[in-house]
Amino acid sequence: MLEINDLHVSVHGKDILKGLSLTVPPGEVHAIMGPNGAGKSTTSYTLAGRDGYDVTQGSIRFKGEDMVPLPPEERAAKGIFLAFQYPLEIPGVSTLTFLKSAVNAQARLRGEKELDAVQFLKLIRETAKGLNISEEMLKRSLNVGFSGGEKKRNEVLQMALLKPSLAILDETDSGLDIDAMKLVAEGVNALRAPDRSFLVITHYQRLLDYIVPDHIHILAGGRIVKSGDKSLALQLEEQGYDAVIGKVA
Amino acid sequence: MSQQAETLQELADQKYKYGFVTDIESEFAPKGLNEEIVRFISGKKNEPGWMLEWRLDAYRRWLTMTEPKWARVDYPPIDFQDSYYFAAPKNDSDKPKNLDEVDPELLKTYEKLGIPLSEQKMLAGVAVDAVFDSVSVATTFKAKLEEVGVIFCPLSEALAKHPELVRKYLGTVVPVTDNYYATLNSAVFSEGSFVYVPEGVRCPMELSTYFRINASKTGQFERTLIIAEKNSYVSYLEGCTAPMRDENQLHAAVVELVALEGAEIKYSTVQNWYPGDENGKGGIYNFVTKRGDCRGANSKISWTQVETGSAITWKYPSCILRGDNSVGEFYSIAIANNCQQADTGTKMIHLGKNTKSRIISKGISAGRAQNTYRGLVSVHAKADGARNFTQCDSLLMGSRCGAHTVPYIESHNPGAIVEHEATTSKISDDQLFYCLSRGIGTEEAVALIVNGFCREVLQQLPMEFAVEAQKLVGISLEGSVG
Amino acid sequence: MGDAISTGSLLETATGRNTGAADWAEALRDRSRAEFAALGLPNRRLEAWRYSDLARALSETVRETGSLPTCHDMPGAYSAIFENGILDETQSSFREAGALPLRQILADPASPFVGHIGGVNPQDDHPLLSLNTALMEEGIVLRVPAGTTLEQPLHLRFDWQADTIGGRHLRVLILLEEGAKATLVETHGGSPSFATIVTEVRLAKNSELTHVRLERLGSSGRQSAMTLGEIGASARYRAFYLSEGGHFSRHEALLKLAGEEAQADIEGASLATGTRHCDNTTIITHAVPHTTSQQSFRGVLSGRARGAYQGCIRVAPDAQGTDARQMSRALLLSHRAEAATKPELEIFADDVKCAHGATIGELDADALFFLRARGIPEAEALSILIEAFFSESLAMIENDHLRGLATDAVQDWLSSHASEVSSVE
Repeated sequence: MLEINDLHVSVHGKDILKGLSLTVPPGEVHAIMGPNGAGKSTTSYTLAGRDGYDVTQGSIRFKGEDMVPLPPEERAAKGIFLAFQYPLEIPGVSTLTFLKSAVNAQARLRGEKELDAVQFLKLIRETAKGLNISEEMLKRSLNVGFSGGEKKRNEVLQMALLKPSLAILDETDSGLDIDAMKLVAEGVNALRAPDRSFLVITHYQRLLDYIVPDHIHILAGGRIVKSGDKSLALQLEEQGYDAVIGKVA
Repeated sequence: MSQQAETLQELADQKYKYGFVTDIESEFAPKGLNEEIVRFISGKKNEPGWMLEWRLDAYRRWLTMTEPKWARVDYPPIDFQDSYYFAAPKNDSDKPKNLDEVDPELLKTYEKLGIPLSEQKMLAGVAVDAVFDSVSVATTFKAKLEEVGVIFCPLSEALAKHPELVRKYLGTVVPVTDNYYATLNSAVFSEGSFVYVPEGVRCPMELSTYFRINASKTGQFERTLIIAEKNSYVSYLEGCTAPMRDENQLHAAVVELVALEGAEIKYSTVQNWYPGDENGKGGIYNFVTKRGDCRGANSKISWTQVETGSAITWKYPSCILRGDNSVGEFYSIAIANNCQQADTGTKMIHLGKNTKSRIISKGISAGRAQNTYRGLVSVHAKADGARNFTQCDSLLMGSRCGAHTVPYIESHNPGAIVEHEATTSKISDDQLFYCLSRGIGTEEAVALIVNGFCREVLQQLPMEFAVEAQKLVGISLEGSVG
Repeated sequence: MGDAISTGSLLETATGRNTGAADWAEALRDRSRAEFAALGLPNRRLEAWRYSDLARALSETVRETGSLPTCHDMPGAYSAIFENGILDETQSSFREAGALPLRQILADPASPFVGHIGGVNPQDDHPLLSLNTALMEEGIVLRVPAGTTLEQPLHLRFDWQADTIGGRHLRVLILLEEGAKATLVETHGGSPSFATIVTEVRLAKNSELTHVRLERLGSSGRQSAMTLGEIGASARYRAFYLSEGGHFSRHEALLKLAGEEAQADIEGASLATGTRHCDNTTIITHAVPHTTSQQSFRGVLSGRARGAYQGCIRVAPDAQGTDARQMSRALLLSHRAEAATKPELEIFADDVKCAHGATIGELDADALFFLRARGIPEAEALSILIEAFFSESLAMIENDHLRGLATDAVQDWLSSHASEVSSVE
């Protein structure tokens, strides 16, 4: 599904990623953990194709295709989805309008038929119900005045609607209490499928209690320094990053 | 980034959609302006003697006046003698006639502009008066309106058929000497719409006037008068376009609204005059005086404008809140791109008790454009309980444009509450990226965000036009982000 | 008491009085005199003077009603005492702060301040600035050397007890060198027949000036003052302006944020009764990237008082990262009082945060009723509410000493004007 090979990325002329390599096969959930400043957010922005994140070396292949030259909207249409750590507020644009624009823009880019208003409403109502998102919330301006939990649920709703092949969850647990996190995790787990992969980026182990990964990678200094199974997270929790990374180094 | 910029550049190079010229033979008044021209125009319209005297008086006063200079707009001096003050399609005789007699070339023109004049093809529920240069070429649904007593016709026809109404109200909201351009208009106005809604009548359909400048070197000076009698209601919309030309053409209109006790007038404008090219060559100078008088208690006048065109916009649709409990509203979207200059806003004059006004202004500047909101809220000593709320937001796109806010707030009454807020923002890279990462392209994302920014105003437009206006907002800004 | 004054009489009054000035000063005056003669006294046809018709105010003969107020006290400061516009050195201690009288500077052909006086001018064509420069005689010049902190505030006390001269023009120049810190306090009391006072402030990198203006003019006082400031990189200008109005009272703060990370914070309060006029005007120019300004003006107007606040924020092209906020609130306490506000934005850069808010209204009637229902007499209740209205503004003042001064000034006014405020017409 996703193959990252020797990826080097600089932001404002500063090298952040220095040789990151990672393979995520279809249907698997991989977690990237790392201390502050390790390059976690850079990884997610680079995969989504944000301006200013310059790939200076290495490659990102998604379903065998080179992603580096593609603008963000085309990557999205090909099935890459980034759940933002801090979802943006757009005043005056209702969540419903935004979602419809996104679903149809991707359909257009893929050469598929756009949904009409009735089909779309039916689709979104069904999807929203499962995530405990009220119709009133859909009518409000996108993320404006939403609580932290509502914003993250809105991200999961988008994911459910857009049906990506690869979902990147960037620090999805930040700013959430346990109940909100459980709700979000349930939403994510419901979307797990043999043809869908997840890349869960997080600082803390706690989210991984709810979204159980197949593999865990530790990112430090712009590279994956250690990989392992779920037990690695527990080890980190007990010993801290310094001890675990220190052992590696 | 560069890829986005390219796409947008391509879009920016698209021509103004309404820039074509209709090839039709026209009759002109001799070029220039003098008393003879004023007599010529009045004669063309077979006006009564008092109307001619009114015009001549205005003309003489105009000669003693000077152009206002306080607006933040900059343009070379206008040579008022280098323009035609009257132009009409030649085979159009003195007055508008039935649709089947209208020159097919004109019908085609309006069809091309998206305003089919045949009643079968029209948007249901919208009556249209089509003004081409200095004359009205057709007014639709007149008969249907007459059934309920609503008069909707060209002003020249109203002068012939209802002279007492015109004489009673014309110039009572915008006096002849109000300002330089209004006085010029009073002397040479050639066409416009007249609306009269009788007591207690709710006008059964939207009324709309579509203004088209076609002839070269010609100014358009229409005059619109709307009277809503006690407890009546009318919603009126105007649209405007002009061909692309290298020259600057003058449009100096006057609009007067009179709302009597309990009446409500909703006046919407989608202004899409030719804005000039990306280097600022050509385009319409839009110097317009619009004012509504809430003459009766509990009356309401609401202005909504979407200003996307014109090289220069100088326009302040205002409300005189004379009647107790009367309400004035001003909802505005002003977009200035490339070299456009817009200086627009409103005046809310609170005279009566418990009068309320609301101003929502959304200014968008892009390219090298200058966009100014200028507004006055004035509360007079007797306006106990007056309330005003003003929100002025500016959105800047790019670092070469300017956004300016010049509000005047004057209160002479301790029982009044006046509130004003203004903000300035840009489309953040984060917002744009968020949209892109969901698969929405740059151009669509900008249109989406800007439409969100303008939503409060767009919601005020009649349904049929809101969709058009939304598209126009997107089109006007093409090429502004990259 | 003031007599009628015109452009011509202003220029004449000064003739022959400017003796002993050096050539550079004479040249500067001549140039400014010609400018003023061409521009004339400002009237309300000029946009910037829309709410303050100086030409008209000066054309009237006015009489003082009530006793003449005196300046606020400022013990323990370096002082410069001006009686009717004339510096009284014997009572002053400004030389201890290193300050010099303007006369001495103007007479010195090789003064190090040549070029500094009249050097801060963020606005073209200002008739009163030209007038002041043409006719300035008295004033104070202070330079605080790099890295030093002026121990005590410098207090400029302008007392106008029996002024009959048709025009006094005072000039103050404050230069803070890199990293210097100082507090400047201006107090104005009594009724000038007509005075212009220009305070030029130039703040070098990392310097900090705290500026307090407490104006307590009599009802016939006519004064138009200006603070011209140029604020350098990482320098900070903090101000509190209090004005009680006069027959004509105007203060303009024309500030240019000229270095990155420069900052200006102004809190303003105006309180006017009777037939007084009170105008606060600011133009803050953000000339370079990453500068910050914050202004908040509050006014209470009763009787037939007229108050105006005009505030303009200008953001120059390329001044990205500007953060400018402006707020004005006016309370009208009577049917014959008038408030005008013109909060203006002129923005030529896109990556900026600029916002203004303005309100005009009356005191909360419910709150007033509540206080009276608890047995507090109306006048006292009004005072409490007005004090509360200003307290938000006063609380914004970081410096304790400065906040104390400002709070006292507001309370002084309330205790002496309580009866006028409550006599709602």
